[in-house]
Amino acid sequence: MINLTTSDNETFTVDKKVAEKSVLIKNMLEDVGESDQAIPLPNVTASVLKKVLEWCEHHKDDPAPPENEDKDDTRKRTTDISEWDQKFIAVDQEMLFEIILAANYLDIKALLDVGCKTVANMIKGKTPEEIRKLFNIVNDFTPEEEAQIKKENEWAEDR
Amino acid sequence: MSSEHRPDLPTELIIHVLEHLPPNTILRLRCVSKQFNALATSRSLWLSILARLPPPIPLPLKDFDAAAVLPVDSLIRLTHAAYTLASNFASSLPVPRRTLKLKELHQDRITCVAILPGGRFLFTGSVDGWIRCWDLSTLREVKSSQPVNASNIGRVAQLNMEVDVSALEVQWEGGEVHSGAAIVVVGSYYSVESCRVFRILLPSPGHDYPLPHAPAPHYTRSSFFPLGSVVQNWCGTQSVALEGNIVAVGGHLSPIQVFNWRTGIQSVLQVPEGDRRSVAVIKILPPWLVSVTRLGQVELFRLPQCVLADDPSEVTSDAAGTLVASHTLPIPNGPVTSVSVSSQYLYPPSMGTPRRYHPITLLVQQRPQSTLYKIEPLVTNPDPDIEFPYNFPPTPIATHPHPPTQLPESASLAATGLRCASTSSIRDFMPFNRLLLWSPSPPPLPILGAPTPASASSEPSPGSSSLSDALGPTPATTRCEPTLAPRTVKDDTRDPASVWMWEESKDLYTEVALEEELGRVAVATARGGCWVFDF
Repeated sequence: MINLTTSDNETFTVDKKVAEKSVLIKNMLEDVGESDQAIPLPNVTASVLKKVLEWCEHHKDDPAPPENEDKDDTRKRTTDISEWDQKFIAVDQEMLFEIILAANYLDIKALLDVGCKTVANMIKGKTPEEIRKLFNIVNDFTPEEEAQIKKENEWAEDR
Repeated sequence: MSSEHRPDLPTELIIHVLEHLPPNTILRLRCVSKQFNALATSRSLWLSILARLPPPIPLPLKDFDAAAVLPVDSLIRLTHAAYTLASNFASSLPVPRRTLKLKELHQDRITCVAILPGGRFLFTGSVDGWIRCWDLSTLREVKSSQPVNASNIGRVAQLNMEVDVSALEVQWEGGEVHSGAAIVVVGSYYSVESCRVFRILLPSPGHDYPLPHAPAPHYTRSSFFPLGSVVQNWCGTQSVALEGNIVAVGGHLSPIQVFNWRTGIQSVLQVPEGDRRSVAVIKILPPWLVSVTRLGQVELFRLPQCVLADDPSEVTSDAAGTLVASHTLPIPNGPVTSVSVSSQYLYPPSMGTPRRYHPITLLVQQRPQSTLYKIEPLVTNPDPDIEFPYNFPPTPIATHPHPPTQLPESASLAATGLRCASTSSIRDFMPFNRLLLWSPSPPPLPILGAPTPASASSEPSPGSSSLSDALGPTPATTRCEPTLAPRTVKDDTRDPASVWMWEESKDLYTEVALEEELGRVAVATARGGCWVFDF
């Protein structure tokens, strides 16, 4: 069993197999060896880690991704999120972004992909204004600049 | 939760999100903000989208290093084009972007048509004795349904063979689209020369993609420069094949002749005594050669060493090529009218991995249907010494029925074996022609590219195809189920909408060529014209 401590000082005790879904933790364990000392995860809060560990628990028996990433394997469908993952990721947007950040920090590629695909599906069919809202950004283009970009994009629209 | 607490995603993660979006959506995101504009037009994003695309990849990008130094807007344009083409073919109803009718390319029936990879150059040969090379990039501004006269098409070169032209094959020199030259093999039924080989210099670029900032393609005249010919007893050339320096000629009633045009060394492929055959198609897949006769015999030969060697000093034996395997396909309704063989059989070599083979696909046109056969590579790691590391005989994997009144004519199969074009006709006093474009297994987007030996199915049963397995789950509505009994049209469960069809009654279709990288199909006619369809 492995102990993990979150940024808000909560400690989780999990199976080594579950924790090792995270390449970061796996490498740490390999480097320092197993000990009773909790592994600090200063970038992850308890609520997020709980969610991430739920995912790791469900996927703990998945085959490990191939070591040297074959080009064939990177060609993935956008929509091919498994049913369980879809339910798992049906969270509010704050949590979704937190999960993505945690998956990136903890180096859990499959979970990162699920998160990014979900955001990609959210982007589809949205207007630029809705996307600004989604990503919390302001439009820093002048109307002229925006018109210029639309013009540059014209070739792609009429196909 | 209020949006103020929402964390922002760092740039690298936004790129990771964008990678999962179609090119058009990404380009629309440019309007969101300056940061998004920069991300949506970044080279790293588009290179990673390109890496995810299924084959075929557009030629200017085939070399990943070349793509990495291409101006980023050209990279975007090409990736977008490749994605659009792949999704068009993956859709249940692929529709051409443009349809062109080219008129009076020849005075008489066109008997052979070929498009060089990249789609820019079209080669035609006719019973009027001429071979011609056309630059289709001169037609970029032409819209659909405007008939184009030959005088308005850039004619790069022409040559009067002074005898009928029955077969023509063309390939970029060295297989390189950027080589600036192509090798052309021309066969004639009546000539005593079984075939003649030419080299033609071609203006660059070799492809027909409109790229931003690129000058309009420069159209120049060139000529067919003779490299050599095979002179033997008359053999009634019906088909020719070309691969690198090796040329093969299949005749009416004689053994297949093979020839290395660089060394000039000729040989034949030995068949059992007295077994004379009429060859419908030949494909050179070094060190083998596949041929199919009009009576449905699929034959595999090992090419003679003297012809495989590119240097005469390396020739150690003048033995003829040998028959490795042979199988006769059922031909319940008379001879085969046309056959096409996929040419992509080797995966690009990669360091440290054993050599891997693509399946070899055969498209056989025969009344009343087109049948697709596959020769699967052996699933187990092939022994390097094995004669032919494939499962033989070929397995039927899909059929497309033609109405009983329609006579199947020519067939063309893309290099990857994923797309088929076939023509059929009713030869009445009013000719009625049909062009079909269909895919044995939908859809090539956005799915896993190549079958790995480990995942390929080892079941040689007709229903299983490792191609469609490797292509991932296929929607039942578009799946092409094998229907092997002739005329059982109702057994074909494929949604007819997954086939694109073009019909016309004015002119008889003769030959068809399919270039899958640009998405261009050319159909030649009996009155010397040609239809061009751009997808």
